[in-house]
Amino acid sequence: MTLIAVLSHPARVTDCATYLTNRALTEASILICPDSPDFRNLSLLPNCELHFIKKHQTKKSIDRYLRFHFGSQLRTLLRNGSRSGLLVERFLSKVVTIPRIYSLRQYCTQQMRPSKFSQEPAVNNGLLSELTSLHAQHLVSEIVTFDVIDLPTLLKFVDVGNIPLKIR
Amino acid sequence: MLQEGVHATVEVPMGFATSPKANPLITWQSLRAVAEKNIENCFRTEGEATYIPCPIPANPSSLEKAKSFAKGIHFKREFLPTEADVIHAHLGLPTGLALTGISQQPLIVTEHQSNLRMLLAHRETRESYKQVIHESAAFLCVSEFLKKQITSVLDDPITKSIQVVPNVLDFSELEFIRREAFQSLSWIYVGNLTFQKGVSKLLKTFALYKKKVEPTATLTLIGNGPLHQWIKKFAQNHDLEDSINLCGAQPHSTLKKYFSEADLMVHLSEYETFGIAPLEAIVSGIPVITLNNGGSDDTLGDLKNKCVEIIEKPSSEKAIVERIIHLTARSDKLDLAGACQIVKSRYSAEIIAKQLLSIYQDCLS
Repeated sequence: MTLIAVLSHPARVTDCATYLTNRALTEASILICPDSPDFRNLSLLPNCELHFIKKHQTKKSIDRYLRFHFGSQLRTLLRNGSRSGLLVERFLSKVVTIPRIYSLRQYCTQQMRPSKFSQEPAVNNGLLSELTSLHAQHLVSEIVTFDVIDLPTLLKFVDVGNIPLKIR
Repeated sequence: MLQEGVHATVEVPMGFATSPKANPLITWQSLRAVAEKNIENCFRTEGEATYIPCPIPANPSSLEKAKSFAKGIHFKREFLPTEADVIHAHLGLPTGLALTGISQQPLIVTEHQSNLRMLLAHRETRESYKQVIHESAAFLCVSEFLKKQITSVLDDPITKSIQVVPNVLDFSELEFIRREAFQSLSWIYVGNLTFQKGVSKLLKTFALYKKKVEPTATLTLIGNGPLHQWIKKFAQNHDLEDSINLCGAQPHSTLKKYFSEADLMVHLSEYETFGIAPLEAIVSGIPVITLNNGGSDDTLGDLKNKCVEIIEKPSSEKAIVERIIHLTARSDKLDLAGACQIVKSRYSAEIIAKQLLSIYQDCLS
């Protein structure tokens, strides 16, 4: 029987550490938290195993990264002194504006449909799979969460296994 | 328990940061799902206190916090209703504002926050703050200094109704220790390790004192804060690692031990609405060096001749060191026992509880 603690925001690091240290006298625990320097100090907690979850990089952010870097490189090349480069830049910026307006319009329409937005809980798949694999190895007796960021994911998990979920 | 027959319960709204992409509706639905399964799993209780999780956006304004707290308290009361006759909120913003819309009972608000000046710099916040004063049955400040500040910033006749009731000090875990002599060898600071609390100035003053006056002096810092790492580096750079004792935040019950080992409290915060730590030091028999920071005039002003040096701002480290030398030189004339009695007679739980009960009764009648 294992206690699982979930921490998603650095603001609660101290509270989480105090809680787990107090409980360490009686039982072992596993703490799941994001793979970030803010949480590294928690590895010193007694009687507590630490599991880091990698932040998932979305395709969207890679696209944005590439677009930004390609765009800035192209701009540097075109602004290298020639007048024709400026004309090409102006033409390209107009061409790029059209799909931008289209995507902005799409985004605004999506924002105006709150029903679609509110019906789908944001599930953290990394956390869900970590919890599932931990439950398969050790029988999870209780989950304690120190914030509400991953509450929808935790509820999805505990509903299946009928495991008590506490907010602390 | 304020008095026999008077019962107090405490609701503590806790701001829980949410992801910017999170849908607040889903977060609240999830909280409801947890509470419906088991109330205690959602609302932690410790003694008479119930902790309420309140989802808040990242870097929230005080008005956003107030909205979230209002929702959280309302949500908690759906599951655990309150039977109180009066509601006493701490801080006008966000807690007081959160309660103005949801409480049927008379609302009493106590203000004591140090960052009020910054909050009231915005027009929107000032308007909300006025609303809290107008809608509360009684609005209290912990010092005359704070009352004057609120009055000058809000410029509203309603501020005349603000009453002053000091903070309560818990003396039960402190002990007055009579010392033979004060040599200002063991300095102590209790509070947040922030720039606003004058911690960087304290470190520089200590380094100068150690270099020029007393090489064996030590400094104990109790508390946590963003300057923790800076203090460590400062100690390394000035070769003070053996003289500075960084203890971190400590439970109130352990203060007695730290105070028993100290013989001078140096508190160089530039702004205080009240200032509890210097008063606790006096009750433990320790003289205090402090700046003229607002709250200190109210709480320590008439103790100057007994055991306190209040230094005008701005003061250089050299000037502060000179005042410490001056205090040490007149240590045989200090009257700490007398000062301790004065502090106890003003800020003990019994005295403040009487004042509060009388205000509650006025609000109910």
